[in-house]
Amino acid sequence: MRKMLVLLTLFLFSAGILLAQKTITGKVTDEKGEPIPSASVTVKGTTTGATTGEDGSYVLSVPASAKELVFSSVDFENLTISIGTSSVINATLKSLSDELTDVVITGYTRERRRDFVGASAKVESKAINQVPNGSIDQLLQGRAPGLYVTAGSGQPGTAANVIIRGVGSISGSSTPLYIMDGIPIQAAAFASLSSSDIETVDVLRDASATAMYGSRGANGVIVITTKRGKTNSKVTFGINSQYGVSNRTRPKFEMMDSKQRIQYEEEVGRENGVNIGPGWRFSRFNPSNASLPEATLQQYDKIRDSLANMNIDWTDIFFRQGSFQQHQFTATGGSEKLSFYTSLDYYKQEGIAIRSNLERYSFRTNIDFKSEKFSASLSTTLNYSQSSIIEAENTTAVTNPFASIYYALPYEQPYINGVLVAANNAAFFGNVVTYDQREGSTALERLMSTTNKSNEIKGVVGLNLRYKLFDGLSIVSTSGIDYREVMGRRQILPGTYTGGQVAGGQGSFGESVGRFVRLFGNAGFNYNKLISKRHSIDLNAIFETTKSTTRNFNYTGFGIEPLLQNSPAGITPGSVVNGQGRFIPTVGGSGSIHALQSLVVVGKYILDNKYILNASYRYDGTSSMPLANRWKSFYSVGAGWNAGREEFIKNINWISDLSVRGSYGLTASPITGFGYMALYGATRYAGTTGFGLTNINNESYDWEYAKTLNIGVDYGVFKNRIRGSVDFYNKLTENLFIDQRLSSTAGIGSLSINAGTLKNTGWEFVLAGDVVRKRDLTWTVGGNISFNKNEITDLGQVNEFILGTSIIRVGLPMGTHYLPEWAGVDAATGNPLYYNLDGTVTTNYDRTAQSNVGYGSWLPKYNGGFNSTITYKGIGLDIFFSYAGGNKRFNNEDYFNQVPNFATSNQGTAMLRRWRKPGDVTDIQKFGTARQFSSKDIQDASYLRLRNVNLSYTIPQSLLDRVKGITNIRVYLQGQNLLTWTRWTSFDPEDNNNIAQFEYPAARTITAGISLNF
Amino acid sequence: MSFKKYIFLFLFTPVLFACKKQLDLVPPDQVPESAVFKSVPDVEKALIGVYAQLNGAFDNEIYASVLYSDEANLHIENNTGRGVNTYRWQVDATSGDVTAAWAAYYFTIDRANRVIAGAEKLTGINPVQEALRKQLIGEATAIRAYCHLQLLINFSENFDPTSLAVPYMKVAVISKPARETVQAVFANIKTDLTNAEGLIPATFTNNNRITLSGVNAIKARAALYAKDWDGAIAAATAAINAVPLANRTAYPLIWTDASESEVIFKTKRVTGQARFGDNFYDRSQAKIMYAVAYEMLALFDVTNDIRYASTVLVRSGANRNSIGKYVGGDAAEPNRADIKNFRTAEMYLIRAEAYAEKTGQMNLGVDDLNFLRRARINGYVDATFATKQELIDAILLERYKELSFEGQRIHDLHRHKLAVTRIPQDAENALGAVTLLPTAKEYYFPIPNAEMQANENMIQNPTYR
Repeated sequence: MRKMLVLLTLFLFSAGILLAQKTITGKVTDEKGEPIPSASVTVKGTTTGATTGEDGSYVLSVPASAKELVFSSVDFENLTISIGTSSVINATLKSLSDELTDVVITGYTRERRRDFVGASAKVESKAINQVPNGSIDQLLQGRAPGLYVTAGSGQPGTAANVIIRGVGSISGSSTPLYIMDGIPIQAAAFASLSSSDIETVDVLRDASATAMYGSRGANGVIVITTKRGKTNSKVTFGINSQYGVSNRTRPKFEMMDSKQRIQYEEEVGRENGVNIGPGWRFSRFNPSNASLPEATLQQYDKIRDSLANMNIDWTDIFFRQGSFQQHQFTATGGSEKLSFYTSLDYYKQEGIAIRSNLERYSFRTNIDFKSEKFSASLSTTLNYSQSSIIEAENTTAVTNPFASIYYALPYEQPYINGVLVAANNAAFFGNVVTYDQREGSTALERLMSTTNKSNEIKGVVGLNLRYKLFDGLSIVSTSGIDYREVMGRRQILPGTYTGGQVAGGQGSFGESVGRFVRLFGNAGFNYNKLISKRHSIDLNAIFETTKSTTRNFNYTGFGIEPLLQNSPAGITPGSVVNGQGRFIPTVGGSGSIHALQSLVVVGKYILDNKYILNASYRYDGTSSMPLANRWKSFYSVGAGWNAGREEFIKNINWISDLSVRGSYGLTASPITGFGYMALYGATRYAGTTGFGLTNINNESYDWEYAKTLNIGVDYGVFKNRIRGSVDFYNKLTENLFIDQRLSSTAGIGSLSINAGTLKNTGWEFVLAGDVVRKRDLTWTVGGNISFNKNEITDLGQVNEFILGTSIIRVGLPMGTHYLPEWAGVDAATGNPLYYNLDGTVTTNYDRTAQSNVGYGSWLPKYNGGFNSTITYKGIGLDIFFSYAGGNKRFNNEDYFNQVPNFATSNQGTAMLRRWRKPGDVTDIQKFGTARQFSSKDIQDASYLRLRNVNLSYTIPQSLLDRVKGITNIRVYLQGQNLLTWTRWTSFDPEDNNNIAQFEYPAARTITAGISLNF
Repeated sequence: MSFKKYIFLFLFTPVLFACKKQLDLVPPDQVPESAVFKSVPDVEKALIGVYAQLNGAFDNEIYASVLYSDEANLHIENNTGRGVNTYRWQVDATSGDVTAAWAAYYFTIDRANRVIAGAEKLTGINPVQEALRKQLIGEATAIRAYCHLQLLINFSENFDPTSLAVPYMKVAVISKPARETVQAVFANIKTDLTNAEGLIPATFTNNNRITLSGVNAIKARAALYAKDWDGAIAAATAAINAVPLANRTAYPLIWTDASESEVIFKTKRVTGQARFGDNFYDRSQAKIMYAVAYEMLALFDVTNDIRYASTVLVRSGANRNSIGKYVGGDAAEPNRADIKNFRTAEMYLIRAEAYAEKTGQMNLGVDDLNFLRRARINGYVDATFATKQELIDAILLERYKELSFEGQRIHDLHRHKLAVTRIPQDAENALGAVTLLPTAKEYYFPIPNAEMQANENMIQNPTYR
């Protein structure tokens, strides 16, 4: 009864104030404290509401009965706050975390993805931080559509080959432009930069994004944004440590073992009369041994037996399990106006080949200051790294360990009583004990008696300034320096065999210094205004100037004093003795210079948050062009429609988001150097300096222009549970440089003329979905696929021409293999057969007359990546695959392992099934017939690779609470390159060129780590 | 803070390194063409550039001859595959070993033409410089003739007067010239050499460059191929008179570059430059790539012929007869040796052959051959020859020995339309490449494929068409 009374009283009380009104004020901001204009504030369950102003503030009269306010804004999650008794209610809205709503950073602008009319993809920090790979660009593989990333070497820190939307140049560069915190940085020089500091990477692919970069934008732009501190946040420290190991992946071909090899040698001797080794030399069938006494022959048998049972695993000698460790310390925080992020990173990775490693120290400090009118962001990084590199990397030379493990005979024992028996001292052991070619031992001797090191200092400093002049108008400026100095050291140690081969015969000590400096600065105005709550205008007008200089210097000194062999102090000064130069050091150097001046205007107009118009104009002048073509204009126009905001779409329940966008624009490929001038370079004869022609002048030298059309759709359905995008592009690159082959009578091999046209068309699809979205369990899958069709559409007056084993021909894609077609082995004679162009089969090989196309190109038809992320309470499992398909490569390794020219080196077991007698049906021709370059060695290099697996566990908060100070602990285990599915038979299907030549393959790396915050 | 202060701060940065002239840059390491031909000393630097380009051109020919002819055998230690296809006569128009000389010589010719044009344009020259200018034009003209001669020797269909030879380039120009006939090229060579003769002073004796004797030597070789016996005799005689044959003490020193005796023209190799001997002996692996042919070894009187020790370097181990002429004289840089383009011995052999071909002068040819042999072989007794052919065969064999590994052998065979043959001992790794008949497709060298593709007016040699 008492309860009833209370209720009744309450009811009456409420009814009494039902008619009363209350005024609530407040401010709506995003997570970063930025005001959100045009956000709606409504009383829950009613239509009563208000809209926030420019500064995010609102005033709302609510009936006294109102209990809760609902705050909503496009791109943000709805927030409900109970009113209670307060009259000031501030709301901080959480931005929607789906793909459609994040921010695209173009370097000149920051735009909401929804308002961005171009094609871009964002790679988040999670995919980049802590992955054990020394070069940032390699981490992008498979992560963004339209991006083809391949590593050319497994040497730690090696830059990848990055191609955005197909190869856009025939003889020029296809390398994209890299921008880091607004400052252009050198491409393919990332070995010193820490990947842990990266917040996001934006990959800009279409003209509306890249035309802002004008003459440098045609190959796409990769915008790297590093981590920054947050204002009004507590200072937190983070530690991340991981350890791991790298192992070698195995190729699919097999080499002969000693028994097979000895037998093979004997067979080749008997059948072909060719002496390729002791198997024949000591054979009883060898006619030269016919007259030898039985005792000697028995001795010979023993030698053969002994060799056949000696199986040396050369991989054990040249390879190792490489260790890996990385430690990072970070501190971040901020007061009301000032915030900072600082990190120290130590990274050490041993390659799988002995002597190969990368060790680096990276420092970064980013500081932001923000007052009402003035803001400044300073980004600084300074890094030091040391690399040690193997001999003759990525070549077929005997000294390349990746080649010599195959060349070396399986019965080649490198050591005799602990002494390495190589080319130098084989004679000392009487040559008798070494019946092999000493190829492995020679490579080993070379590796041990030389060093090849590179020390790098890389610094990037950038400063962004903004000052609000008055309503909507700001003055902005970005300036910075990209600096890189690489100091190489090459030692050939005295007292070694290799040291005896250099000039003077007593080793050498050489150093090189290469310095790259790019000064960059721009300044201009930004006008940003929302008019009548409907018209959003953003306008930038900027003047920019860039100047790069490169300087190289090197010397090599000779006659090295062994006690000082690691210092230039050990060099003997050069002199002339008996008319012959003694220990004369060599010196050399070079330099280059380049400047670019630009005017950039970028404008954007948005109506009702639905209709977007975008335009950019850039006027570029460069030092690399003749006066006639020095200044050129570049532009783009783009439009977008946020259909998802239209009422009629909103009414379709299952569509949560939909936008359509299109753009068209003109950009150019970056060009440096002085290709338009007639130039003479210094040359020497008999010790005197002279001049020789190095470049013919070309008055019509011009830029390579790319015209790109892009149409895209972004969508989200079922409450954004499934989301994705589709893009179509057509990129026509005209005026392409072609090295027109000249008759040698012109005195120079080729002349770069602007003649060619390349077309890249393609489709890109991104799809992601939340399979499970529960409180404790989430499972998200996603992927992307990009199809690109590349075609040479015009070569101007230039004839088709051959580049290595490829042809440049109208109607074909770049990288098209061009070789005679293999027609098998003649079962009657064992001769190799080739197709003539008329389809007839012949034993004659004629590369000029028989070469044909139809074996594909080394560039893939499609590529991409897909991933799965599962989190269950504190446990997370990320699995990421990358793949490429339709790419064909020339397997030169098979060639080397089968060619009779190298029969004295070890050969593949494939040679055991060679043609031996009439009637043999096989794919391996008779021993001794010429093994030629043909379509036989072109293989499908498509692959699917389990690129990264990361299993992590975050300690529950409840446990952490007991440990004072620590806010987060996460432990993880990750694997890189765990599995690869491919039909490619050699080391690694992934490579940055058309031919496999004993390249350093990617390693399989497994690491375990812990990260904690306190 | 004042407004203006900020404007200044913002605009300061780009303005700092932006100025109008910023885009007018020149490459720091090179000079524009206009700067090169300003004075006679500058033109001489450009001529040095011509020699720098020429340096190495003849190497290609020597290497091709060693691989292609019967001078050497493919050694079992050759695990690099270097030259192996060429050794087995598996060549086509894309094979670098036999076609590399093409571009090397034409590039040199282009540079020479630029020097001639640049030197001729100079005005207001004092008499001292005028003499130098003439000499520079003379050298460049002689180099032009020499390069065309070597192109003709390597790439003509054959040496018949009306057969296709090579284009003769007299100006530096981008063009697509057609092949001229053998006789037309010989006529141009002759004109150029006659002009050069009048420009180069006799006092200039630097044999790293083309001297008057060098011009005569080129003339003699050209006349031999042109079958202009009188011309050959006259030019060879002039060269012999100016640069006598080396004595036995000096002879071995020629190959160690310690003596300039009888070296008419050589391309100099200084310390640090490419070592030609590496082609035959791989130092990094201590392996013989190509060894002296057993066929040639058998021809030497090992004890009495002083040439043997310079031609063959017997290395430790069985059957390791290294090619000795390019081991060089600097123990600190083995395999580096100057490339001898013309030696007096060749002049004697040219003259001997010319006399032999001329009716009634066979005895003079016999004298020349015997004179050369006497100089080389201890205790040599003069030989006699019954017929002209006998003498010519003997001269050819003497050229094989005397001029071995000097880029002559394959063209001597071409010149006489003789087959290349290898004895079984030399053919162990030849995989059947034992006899190459003049009728075989691969007998002559092809015009390089790159040239065929770039120049529609170029006609390929008959068997490669």
